[in-house]
Amino acid sequence: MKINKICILGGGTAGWMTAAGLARKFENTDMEITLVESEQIGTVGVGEATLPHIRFFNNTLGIDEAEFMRATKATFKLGIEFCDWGRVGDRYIHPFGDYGQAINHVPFYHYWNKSRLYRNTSRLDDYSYPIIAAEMGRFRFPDKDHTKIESTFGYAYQFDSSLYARFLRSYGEDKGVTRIEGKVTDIQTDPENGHITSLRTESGCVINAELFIDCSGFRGLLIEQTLKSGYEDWSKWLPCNRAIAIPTASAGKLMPFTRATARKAGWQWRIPLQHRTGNGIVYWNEYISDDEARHVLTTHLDGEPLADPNQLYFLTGKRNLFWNKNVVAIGLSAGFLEPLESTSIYLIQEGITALLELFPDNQFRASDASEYNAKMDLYFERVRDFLLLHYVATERDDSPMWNYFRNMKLPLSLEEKIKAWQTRGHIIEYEFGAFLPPSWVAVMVGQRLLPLRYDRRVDLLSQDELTAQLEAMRLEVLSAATDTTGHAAFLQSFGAAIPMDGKG
Amino acid sequence: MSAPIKSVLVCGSGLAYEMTLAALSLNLPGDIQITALQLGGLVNRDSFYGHLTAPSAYNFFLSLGLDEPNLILNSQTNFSFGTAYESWAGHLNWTQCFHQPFPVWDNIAMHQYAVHMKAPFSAFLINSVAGLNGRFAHPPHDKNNPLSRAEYGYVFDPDDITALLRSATTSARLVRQSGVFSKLLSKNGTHYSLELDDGTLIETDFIVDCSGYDSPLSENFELGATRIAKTNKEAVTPGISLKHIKANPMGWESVVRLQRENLHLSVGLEGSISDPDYVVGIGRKLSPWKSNYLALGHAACVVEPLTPAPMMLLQRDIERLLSLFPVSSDMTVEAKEYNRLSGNDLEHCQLFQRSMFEIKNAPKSAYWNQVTNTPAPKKLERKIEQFLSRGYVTMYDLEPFHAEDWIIQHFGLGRQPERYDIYLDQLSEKQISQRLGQLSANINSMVQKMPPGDRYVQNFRRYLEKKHGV
Ligand SMILES: Cc1cc2nc3c(=O)[nH]c(=O)nc-3n(C[C@H](O)[C@H](O)[C@H](O)COP(=O)(O)OP(=O)(O)OC[C@H]3O[C@@H](n4cnc5c(N)ncnc54)[C@H](O)[C@@H]3O)c2cc1C
Repeated sequence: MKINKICILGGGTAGWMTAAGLARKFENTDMEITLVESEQIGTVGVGEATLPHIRFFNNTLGIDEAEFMRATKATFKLGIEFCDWGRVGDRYIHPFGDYGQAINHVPFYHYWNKSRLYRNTSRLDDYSYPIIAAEMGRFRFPDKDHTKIESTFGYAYQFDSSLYARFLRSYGEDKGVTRIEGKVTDIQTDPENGHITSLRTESGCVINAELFIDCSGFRGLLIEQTLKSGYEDWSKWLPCNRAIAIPTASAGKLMPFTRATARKAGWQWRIPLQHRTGNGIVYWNEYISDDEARHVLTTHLDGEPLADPNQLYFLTGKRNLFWNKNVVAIGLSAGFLEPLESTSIYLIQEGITALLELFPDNQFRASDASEYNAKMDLYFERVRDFLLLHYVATERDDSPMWNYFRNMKLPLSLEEKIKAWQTRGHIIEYEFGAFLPPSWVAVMVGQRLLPLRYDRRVDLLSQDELTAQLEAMRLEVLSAATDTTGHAAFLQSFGAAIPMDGKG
Repeated sequence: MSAPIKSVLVCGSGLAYEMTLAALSLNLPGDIQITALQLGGLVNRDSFYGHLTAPSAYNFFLSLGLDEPNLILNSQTNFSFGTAYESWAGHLNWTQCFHQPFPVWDNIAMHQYAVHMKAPFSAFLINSVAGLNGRFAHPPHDKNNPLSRAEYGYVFDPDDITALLRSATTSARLVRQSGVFSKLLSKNGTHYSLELDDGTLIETDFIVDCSGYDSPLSENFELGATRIAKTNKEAVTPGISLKHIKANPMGWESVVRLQRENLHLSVGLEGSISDPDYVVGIGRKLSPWKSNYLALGHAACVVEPLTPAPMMLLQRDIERLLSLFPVSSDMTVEAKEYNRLSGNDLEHCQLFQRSMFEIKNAPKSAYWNQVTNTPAPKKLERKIEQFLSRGYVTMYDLEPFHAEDWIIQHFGLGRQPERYDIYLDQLSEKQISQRLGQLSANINSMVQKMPPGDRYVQNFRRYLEKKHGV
């Protein structure tokens, strides 16, 4: 039998993304979708930087990109700039795209790797179109002609998360989602099978449903507080457990990238939006107090604070079961990995996609849930390894936190990956997961983890040919980036919500 | 201390040997000396590579210096849309064709439409329909043409390709010699060199062993069941553009149509074929790469050639060797990664082949009993359970067989999902059947226009001869 009633608990980014995704899928059916959210509780209020995958999500919903950007005051994002990670004073960009173009079917970075060992001092970044365009503060859409260097990248957005939720709310409501405002205080379960049957709000409103999506944030009201699904604690690998966020007035040129600057006991983010800049610090309270963290954050702001700092607490890890009985947890209720690579919204999206693919009937077969759980486990684990790489690929030893990472026993999967890279520039790749080989290359090279040797296929080019081809690639990237429109100007012409004057 | 690699020795004979030599000599820099040691006294079991490649062989052959015109003009190689299984398990007939991703309509995959209508899936696969009608044409680029979704592999005679590669691989630094193997010598159990029966000692930095199933160079082959096999050639049958496989109680028989002759292969349990060409054990080396020794081809693993799996594995192992060619005498990292990837590929191919035996009402034949005498692996159970439950295709990382291959196989084996994609409920029965009907009509009309496979290859050949002035 088909399911006809879905209840989503929570109206943050996860709740409204899920509501929009389901509403779109069940557009012409009698499916009833209800979303409950509590203004009193509010949302986490952060989550502004995304990965390119989000474009696919918006496209599936049929959202007009310009309208979305205006509504969410979004900027374009070509990657993340990492400062002070390998050593204090270092910086690199992890781009959403590739380095150069393959030669003889061998990825370009192998050629650079050899030339580096032969004293080419140019950065790998110099051969990446998205990096150079980002550094120059430029933006364009990728070229459809795959032979062109301007086709070798993807892009994402930086947006106001509350505006994104609002935008999706109107999308969902237009497609028939019913929104109920109220704090859920009572949850009924079926005594026989333990399934949740209804939610009741403080004001007495009862919501019955067959399927419940828990988007209630860190508290995991259904998945954990009610169903006790359990949490796998990953804090031994990713021990940062607190954050403070603060918005500031825009300052300087509007750059198309997020910045993550390493600090002694954590790191600080900077996310430029059209109308303001999002900032925050993520830290490990073992080594820095909340007051000190706030001090570090505020002394490194480049604009006027626009609100009071927002203090957040978390524990990295993931639910043992994302889907348990008739509840599927999506968003912070499913797990949390610090926002170093903007992966939370991506994981929300993967959760929604997997739910749509494995959408249950009212028998709730174990095979649907187990497939979902296996898929999501893999996605979370792979993000975890990638995040951890940032902390361990470093020469920093200037604080107890960095020393903790230097002495850490890594997950085997990550240890082998690092070894293969260091030995010969080989990337152990996988098919399913957010980060493809160029991302791993970016972080390892950017954080001074460099191979001792190079792939011998590269030697098919003579030293002169190699030098000439690298130089030609560098110039091609430089000239393409130079010919690219400025980010602010591009935004303005695409339809920014506010004037971009003075932003570059 | 680790030293740079200056030399590699490839030893063996036959298909894997020549392919490896071609790949290394075209893709390794000139300062690495390649010695080709043709070993005498080896049994030729290359027919156990199965006479059929996957579509990716097009690029692979290119990387070995063989483009398609060369293959067609200078060998008997022919095109193939896949494999037609006949009377599989006594009652199943389907075409395991090579297909690009299926169309998606209204965000719903085409195969879900077929699940919903309980329609025979093969009607919606252009190369299945064309193949069964003996038709062939190269898939065009025009996405509106239903044939653009078809893919093709090659059917070939391994001895033919071996000879072609041998004549094409003439790099100056390739030193060819022959001999009879005597023993493998090892320094502290870590670095191997090789001695011939005339006492010649061959010292090298790296050995690639392509000497086949009963490689004299090494043991440790983890053996499963044993098969015997026999090939024979006969006059060409017009109008076959698929490999055909027919099961029998003791094994199976296949036939491929080359350009000028048909090539038969019979495979079965011991005692099932009179005068077999050879006996072979199905199995693998757990660690094909150990120290400076790498076993490749049948020296590393033997898979029953029921699908293109043996050629896929050979191809992927050679490609892997290129991307992991050792950079120093310490090959620990390379060996570990190679063994991991190669093991995964083998496991995934075995899942695909084992899946062909997971059938209700399977015959009680000796052959069938032997293959199914151990339970299906958990990873396969998960795939089958998901497909049966809702037509969902579970995929593991970097599987050699694609999702389309699995879907075609599941349907071919009569697996009918219990549920269809619920989003189809938003369409009327009429809309659903119209979509499928339209596709099927387009396919039929296109197939009518396609020439018989034998005529196509003859014309193609004539065209190439003219173009190349042959
Ligand atoms: C410091 C920090 C920075 C981050 N940065 C990024 C980033 O840059 N990029 C990124 O992708 N992600 C980021 N994230 C993650 C991102 O913020 C979240 O994944 C995203 O906001 C989704 O949150 P959510 O909707 O799951 O939870 P929330 O926003 O917490 O929403 C929970 C909802 O549940 C409702 N609710 C809870 N209890 C009840 C109840 N009893 N009754 C009724 N309603 C209830 C609340 O009212 C609210 O509507 C960051 C997270 C943190 C902590």
